[in-house]
Amino acid sequence: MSKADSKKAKLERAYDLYADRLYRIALTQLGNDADAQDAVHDVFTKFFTTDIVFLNNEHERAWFIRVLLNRCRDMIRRGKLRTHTDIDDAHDIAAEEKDDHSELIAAVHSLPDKYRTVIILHYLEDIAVEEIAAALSLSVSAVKMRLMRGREMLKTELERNNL
Amino acid sequence: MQKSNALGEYRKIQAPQQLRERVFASCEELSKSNGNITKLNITKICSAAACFVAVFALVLTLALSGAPKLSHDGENIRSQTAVSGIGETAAFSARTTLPSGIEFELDISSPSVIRVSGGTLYLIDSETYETIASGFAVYAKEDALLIWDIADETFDELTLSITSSGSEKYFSLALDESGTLCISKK
Repeated sequence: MSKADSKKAKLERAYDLYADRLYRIALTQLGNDADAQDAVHDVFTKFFTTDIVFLNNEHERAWFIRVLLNRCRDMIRRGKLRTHTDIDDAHDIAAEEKDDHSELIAAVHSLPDKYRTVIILHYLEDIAVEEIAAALSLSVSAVKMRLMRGREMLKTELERNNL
Repeated sequence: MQKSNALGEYRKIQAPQQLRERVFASCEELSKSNGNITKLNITKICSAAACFVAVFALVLTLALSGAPKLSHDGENIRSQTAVSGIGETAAFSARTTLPSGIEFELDISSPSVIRVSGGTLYLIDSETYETIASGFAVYAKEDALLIWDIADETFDELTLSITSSGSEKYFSLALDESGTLCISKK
């Protein structure tokens, strides 16, 4: 197998493993499909152009999550998020707004950044507190504190929406 | 039930097919246009090596010192840090009333005694969120959450000390010029 084929095979494996999860996280972080796709696209192109050796699966997963969150944060900070909808996408929006999951995403998206991130990773993506702490460079107790506060905020938001 | 339905619906969300095509097309382009993307860059290696040495030195220093660490909202308290009570902002709590609970995360490598000059300390188990001890001084055997209740205090400055084997750290809690409640390491 040539080096190019090997890189492509690595990309395919990584994409199949992480794309759905990264897309969901990006969607809750950024609030719209087009920006979420941009962020996930950038993560995989970075993976493709970086010769990184992962120690194990947890290390690999943490890398993808950390790079994605940094990319989302960067997009938010630079004000690069879309505030309008392309005409071609307009027909999808009405359908999306009726989706059951859109209310949960909206509730999670309404949380302050630091609570939103840990809530998504732990409760929606089932990632262990220790792994989140490593990915976000926080102490385990800080992650737990954010989870406790974020959970209460999310509960209030979901009750308000009768979810 | 509704919540678990919403969670189930959330987990059904999949990346769109066009995203896959876009990613693979971009990577194909990158591999064609940039055949030497893996070529080593001496500047990058030097920078990475310098960073590694700096991080290693820092980690080694922290590990050897084993000093207790106090954080507020995930931020290690070194210089002056604005603090707020549960569910409040720092400016709001200082303008109206002193907060009924300021939360800290305590990271210790050996059993420690935490004392305050005023108010009440609550030592909270970070796993179960149960109160382990309370008072003006508490004994912590391991990492925990601390809640410092100063609601009934009138003060210019309060102090918190952490004493563990071989080291003692002091922190000072006071209002700054703008009326924001801040804690700083002495």
